[in-house]
Amino acid sequence: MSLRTGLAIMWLAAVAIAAAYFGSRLLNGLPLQSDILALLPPLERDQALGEVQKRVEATLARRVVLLVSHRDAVKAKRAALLLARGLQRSNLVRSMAVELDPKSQKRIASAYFPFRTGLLSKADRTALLAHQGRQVVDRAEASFFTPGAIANAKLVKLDPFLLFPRFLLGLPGPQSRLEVRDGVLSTKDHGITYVLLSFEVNGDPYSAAFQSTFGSMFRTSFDATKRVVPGIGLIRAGAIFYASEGTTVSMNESSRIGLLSTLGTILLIYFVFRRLRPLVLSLVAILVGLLWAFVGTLLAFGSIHVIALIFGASLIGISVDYCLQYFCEYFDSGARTPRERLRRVLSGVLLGLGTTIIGYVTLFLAPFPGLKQIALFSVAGLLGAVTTILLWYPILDKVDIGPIRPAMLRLGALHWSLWQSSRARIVRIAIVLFCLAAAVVGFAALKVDDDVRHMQSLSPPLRQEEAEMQRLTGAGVSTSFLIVRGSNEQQLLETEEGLDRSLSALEREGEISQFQSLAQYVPSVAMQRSDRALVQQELVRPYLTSYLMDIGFNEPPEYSAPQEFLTPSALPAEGPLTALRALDVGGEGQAAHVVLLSGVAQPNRVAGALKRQGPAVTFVNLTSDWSALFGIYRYYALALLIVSAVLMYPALAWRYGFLAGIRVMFPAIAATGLAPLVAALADVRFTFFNAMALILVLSIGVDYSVFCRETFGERKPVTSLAIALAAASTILGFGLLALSSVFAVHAFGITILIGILLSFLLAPLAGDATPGPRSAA
Amino acid sequence: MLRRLCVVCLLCLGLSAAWIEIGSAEDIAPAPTPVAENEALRGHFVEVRTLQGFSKPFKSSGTFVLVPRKGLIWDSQQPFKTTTVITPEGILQIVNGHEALRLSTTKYPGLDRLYDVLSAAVSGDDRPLKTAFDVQRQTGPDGWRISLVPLHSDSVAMGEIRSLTVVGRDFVESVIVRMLDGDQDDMAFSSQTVSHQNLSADESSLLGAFRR
Repeated sequence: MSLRTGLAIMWLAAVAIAAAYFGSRLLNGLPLQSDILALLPPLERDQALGEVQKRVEATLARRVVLLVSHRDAVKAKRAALLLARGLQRSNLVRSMAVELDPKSQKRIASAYFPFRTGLLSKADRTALLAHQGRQVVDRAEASFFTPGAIANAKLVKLDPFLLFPRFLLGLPGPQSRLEVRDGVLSTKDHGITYVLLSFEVNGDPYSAAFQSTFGSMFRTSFDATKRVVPGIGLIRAGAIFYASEGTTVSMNESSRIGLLSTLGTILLIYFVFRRLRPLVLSLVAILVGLLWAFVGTLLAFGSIHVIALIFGASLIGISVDYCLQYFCEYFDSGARTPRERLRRVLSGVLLGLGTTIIGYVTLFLAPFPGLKQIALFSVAGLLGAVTTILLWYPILDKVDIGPIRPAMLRLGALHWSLWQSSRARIVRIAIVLFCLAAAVVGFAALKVDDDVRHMQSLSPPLRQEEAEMQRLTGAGVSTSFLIVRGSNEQQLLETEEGLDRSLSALEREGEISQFQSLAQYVPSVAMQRSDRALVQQELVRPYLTSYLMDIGFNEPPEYSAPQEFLTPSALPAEGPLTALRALDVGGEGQAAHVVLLSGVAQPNRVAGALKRQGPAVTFVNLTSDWSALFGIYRYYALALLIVSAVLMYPALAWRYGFLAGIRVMFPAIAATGLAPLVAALADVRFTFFNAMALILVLSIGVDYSVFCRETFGERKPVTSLAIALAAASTILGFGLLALSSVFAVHAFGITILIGILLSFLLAPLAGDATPGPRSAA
Repeated sequence: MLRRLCVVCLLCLGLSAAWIEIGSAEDIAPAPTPVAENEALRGHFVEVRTLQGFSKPFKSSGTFVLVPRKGLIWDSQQPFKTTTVITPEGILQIVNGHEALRLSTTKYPGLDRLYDVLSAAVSGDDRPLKTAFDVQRQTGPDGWRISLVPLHSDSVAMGEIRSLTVVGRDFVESVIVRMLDGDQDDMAFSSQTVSHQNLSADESSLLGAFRR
């Protein structure tokens, strides 16, 4: 057994093991991820803050708000309660808040009551600080004389100045346009009653598995509700709906694009070669490549992102390039045996693989977890495919095939004559002029876009629902918040109390519509302590005796200050205050709260107003943060592009010499530079994703140039044909991504499409102008 | 606690208005003088509240204005200058010129129920009353008397009320509210007149306090 056969058998064993592993993972369900922001690195702030922000994002992502509607208010409420119960039964949701029944109100009051001596409403605190104790006493005394007054002996004994009811009434109420009607939060619009339901999903909203479980449970519950209460409507807001829509779209697209790509490639190969062997062998190489791509990604990351899957579908397009280089040797009468064919393309394929891998490895250098996945997926896949070609083709492709279909070769020759024949000068000039014009006009038309809202192609119907919810409730899904950090919970509450004034001012000025902080519900111990002292000093000492005498109350009040203080954990976890728990976002050894802001019109102005708060408070606007990040990383991608060009050059210079190395790179670099400018003519904006695509255009483009450079004399048309087929298959793979409705994928695809066409067109420029061999590889 | 305030206020308002309108419809004689849409009922009141645990009763007096669909202004002059305004949109209380309480029905659970009962009562529909109370009516030569006993003592809105008694002739003349804990509220009304609204600027602004 020769070394070659031995290696082929070892490769077979390795492939079998990989297949077994992949099969076992498939049986347990492929772990898919669909969060597009997971493609991005954590924000470049200090790590602790990044972690807190991640938790806040995770919490926000789990939130779901529904509006259940009906023309009949009673039916709307009934439907909302039914739906809530249905969802709750599933255990897939938690922190459900729907009913504001008097019982839950009572529970809240009872939770606060033991700590009442330290609880003052904002207005009362202000009055007492201004030494207006008399006003508070008058109010208490007057309340005995008003119709149906609240005061009685029991209350006076426990809370003589009736401060506690006022504290309770001072707690923040529901969102601006919502009303409490019949024990539920609702709003009316054009005769339709909308009842609000809010909850958290009890799982990862970006996990495809959870999405499908939740989705079917949700549909079942809603349909069941609809059967009982016909005619109900539903408006949804929440990341889970977007994410699950995104997963469905991506999955459908990746299978559709993958299928198109595969079918197109098969047709192409069959059309050119008119026999099954190249087809079958190409499929073998592609499948083995894909197998390694999946296995490598699963081993390294544990799960696969749907975007990696979509890009991965295009891997077929690249790995087939190498197969095509090999099979096009069928057209070369000098290559009669598989070994001879392999020997002839070996240097080109290896050099091409090397430069392509350099391109992908730069993707790997980018600190984007998602792109690392794409890079690993592709590198593993390509290595798998090329190894298969090298080790298996000489064994499997035994038959001696004579030269076939010279018409094809004539086509290939045309490609060369375009650049080398004197008859094609006019066409050449036209091409150069077109490129120059496109570059100038395109440059003027080039628009850069980093807005994260444009990157995520959110489902339009869901966006409409969200806008409708915003209109009806006066508050949308918040993407702005403050992170408050400190060494312990009390410090956080104190910071939030300090923030209260600025936030209230912003609220009055209309810069924000509402804010929600834990300190609004739970004063800090320091505040409670000072409030107790204030009550003693401004009310109890000066007025208590005379006040009690005035109202004729003879028993001594039970007004001794308790030693305990109210803390967030004392509040009921269920009921209307359930959402408060999510405001505590501290992790191990780190205390952190989030203050949610809604209706932020201009993030910059809010950020500016809060600047004075110091390092303990961080304003976060996810939209502008992510957009800024996309901007930074767009530059980063362009830098990577240059790095990858610089990395490729030494290999080329080593093989071809300094100047020729530059010449080999020229067509690819020209295509890379022109692609975004030509795209701009079609009003395609330049984003981070287009920049990443250019890295691939460069490495694939260099492949084509290398193939052209490696060929000589009679073989030129053969090589050209192979490149034409490669470009066609790459376009079938990557270019088809331009059809995707996922913006990132679309941007990537369209850049590749244009870039590859240009690369193919310009590739012969790298070739030797003389027909003779320069190097017999 | 708050609800008690609402219930009693509501009943003063709701009953007088409801009685005024449904009285004639159900042919119970003698009926109180009806208050039309564009009219207002004005009068004096004396309220005596007897509370357990206090050595003396709380007595207050003043004037009131009841405007159909707009609300009630309860203006206590003695011993404190206190104005309580109850409208379909909320409750407002001013003590010695300082706003002491402002509750919007849209923001606080429970108030909305009362508002529904109120508006139903004002529009002549006593069904909401009957869902909450056992209603007994008596008519005699001196006038009529209506007794209301809550049907569900555990209902939060009615939780602390033992019974309500309303006595009247042309107008509601007295309301007695007895609480479960023995507290009692006696309200007597006098010098009542129904006339064209002629609301003062102050009255209009008080009744419109919750309009946006």
